[in-house]
Amino acid sequence: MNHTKQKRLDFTITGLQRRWGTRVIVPAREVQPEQRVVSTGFLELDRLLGSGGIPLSAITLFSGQTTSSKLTLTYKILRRAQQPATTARSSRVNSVAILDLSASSDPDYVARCGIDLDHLLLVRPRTGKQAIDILGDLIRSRQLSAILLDSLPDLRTDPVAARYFDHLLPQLCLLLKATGCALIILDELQAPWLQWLAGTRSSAIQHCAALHVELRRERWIESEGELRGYQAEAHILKSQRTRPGQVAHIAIEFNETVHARDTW
Amino acid sequence: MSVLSCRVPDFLIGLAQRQEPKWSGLPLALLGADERISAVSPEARQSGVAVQMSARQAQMRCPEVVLTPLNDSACQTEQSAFVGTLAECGLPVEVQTWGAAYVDLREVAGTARDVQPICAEMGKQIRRLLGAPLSPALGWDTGKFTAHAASSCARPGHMRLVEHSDEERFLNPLSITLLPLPEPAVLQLKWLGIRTLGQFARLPTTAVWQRFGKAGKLAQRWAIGRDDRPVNPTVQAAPLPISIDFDPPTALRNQALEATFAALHPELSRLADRLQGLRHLRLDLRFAEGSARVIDCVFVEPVCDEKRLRATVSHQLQILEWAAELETLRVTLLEIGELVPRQLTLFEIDEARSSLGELARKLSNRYGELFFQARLTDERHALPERRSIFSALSVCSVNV
Repeated sequence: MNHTKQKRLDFTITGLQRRWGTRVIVPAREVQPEQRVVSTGFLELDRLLGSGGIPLSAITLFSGQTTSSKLTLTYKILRRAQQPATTARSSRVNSVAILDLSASSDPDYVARCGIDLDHLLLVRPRTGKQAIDILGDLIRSRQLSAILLDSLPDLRTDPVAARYFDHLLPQLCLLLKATGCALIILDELQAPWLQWLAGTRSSAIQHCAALHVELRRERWIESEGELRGYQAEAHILKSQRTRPGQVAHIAIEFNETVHARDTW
Repeated sequence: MSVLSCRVPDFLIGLAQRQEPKWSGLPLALLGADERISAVSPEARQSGVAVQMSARQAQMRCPEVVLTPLNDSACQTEQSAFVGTLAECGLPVEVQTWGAAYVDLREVAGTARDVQPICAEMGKQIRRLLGAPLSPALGWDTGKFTAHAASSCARPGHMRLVEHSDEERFLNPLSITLLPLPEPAVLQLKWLGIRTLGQFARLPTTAVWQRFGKAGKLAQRWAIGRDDRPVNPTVQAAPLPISIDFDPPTALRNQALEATFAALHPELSRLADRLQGLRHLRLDLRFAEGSARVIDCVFVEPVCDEKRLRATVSHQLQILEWAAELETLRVTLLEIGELVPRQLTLFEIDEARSSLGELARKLSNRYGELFFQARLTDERHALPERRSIFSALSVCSVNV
């Protein structure tokens, strides 16, 4: 851009700012890219994710078999999401919600993962369609920093709800971006023959998700003949900030509280 | 100064429901003389029905809404009884709006300890007069605005006394929508990210004056806690009547309307700067053949918005039968009152007061009892299922 055009642009911006306030228009060069993320609680995983955690204002998909640590990892993220940002002036605890379609949430385990129960809303919808409507309303309320959808297979038992969800996904993504809320979806791994038969059920979500991590249990951690926890592998399948295909190792120990141990 | 603000929430709705108990819990809207909605119940408000909507608009927003005309004379009687009860102790009382008034306690009490028994007694008397569903919420402070804010924060049947030293701490987190600023000003503040009184109070005074004028400057003083308006027991002095002569006489209603608002405009601007509005407007019409008609426009809440006033006056002029051509029009501002904030139509969520329980309550009305909160009952119990319980977040368990 030549000097005259640049001068004219600056003059126009100054005029608009004088009339409507300085925040109304800001040149992109002056905007600091703000990375809004929530830490997972595992340093190695945070480092691999590139931005220091899972993204706010977007969908994150965790898939894996039972006892692959996806639920525990999510609870740890919810705990971090409840903590007020260090830059925030107020020290108010943020609220989070769990859409418990599987009706299996255990408050005792949730509390042991460090989540403040006073700022946790648990929703048990009766149908899949109702769950999607409630999800939209929860995001629109702007009062929640993160929402967990537990889990995708339960939502997809109703084909009508599954189609409705796929149809609404782009709108949900826009809503999340506008409200700054993180949506975490848990998915069970399908058997290969089912994938061949019916196609991948989460393809639409994989397309919309900003981050997709597959978790696999690696080994049990034992100490003095007693089961102490387990170690899992987190495979990054899709990410907007880092190279896919990387693997992080996470260890989860059980004692009085559920402890996240950094292994490497 | 020592000011008590006494407010009966949803006064008009409460009276209508007291008369017809079957309307309790239903979305209810009262239609004023101008065929616009004058008051809405919390249930109707939740469905998006707002004051000044037409009946059709309200029905489109909420098909189940019960629409009934406002019984003006009955409400006026109850309002007089309400003010009379407050005035029984011989202290100056200023009517704010329906079911809301200020009492000047300067002569009898200056500290929270002294004020408490007086407030309790007044609260009991009003509850006895109006009945339990119309319990008052009381707020006390050294200024009118803070006292009003305190009564807005108090639940019905409770009082909130704010000591002078706690004023700033009390006002800072409250929503900006407590201020009776005009709608464009509140929207501008919303876009600028100013949500609380504390944020508004910290803005440079000159910038506020430049952008929002005298009304903004006055509102900022109130937000800081500096409100030196006295409690005025008499009806506020209205300006002299304005007389408009039509030469030659006119039969055009639009011409009469435009002339009225051309004459009223300076007065309305002056009232808006002082965050005041019209409560009672009288139009005396004298026709060429010698007859006269009187139009009384009484507003449920004080109004200074020209658009709204124009709609009401235009409606009244349209429905009036003109005996002949109009010769003289006399406009009198009979009653003036303080503007009432109307935040509910502007912000979907009142962030300062919002809580998880409130969100659950809103959603429960739509989806049913699907929202729970977990609680640890016995953390050391051997059985995991005995360590915690789920409790439903229903209407009765919500902290408002």
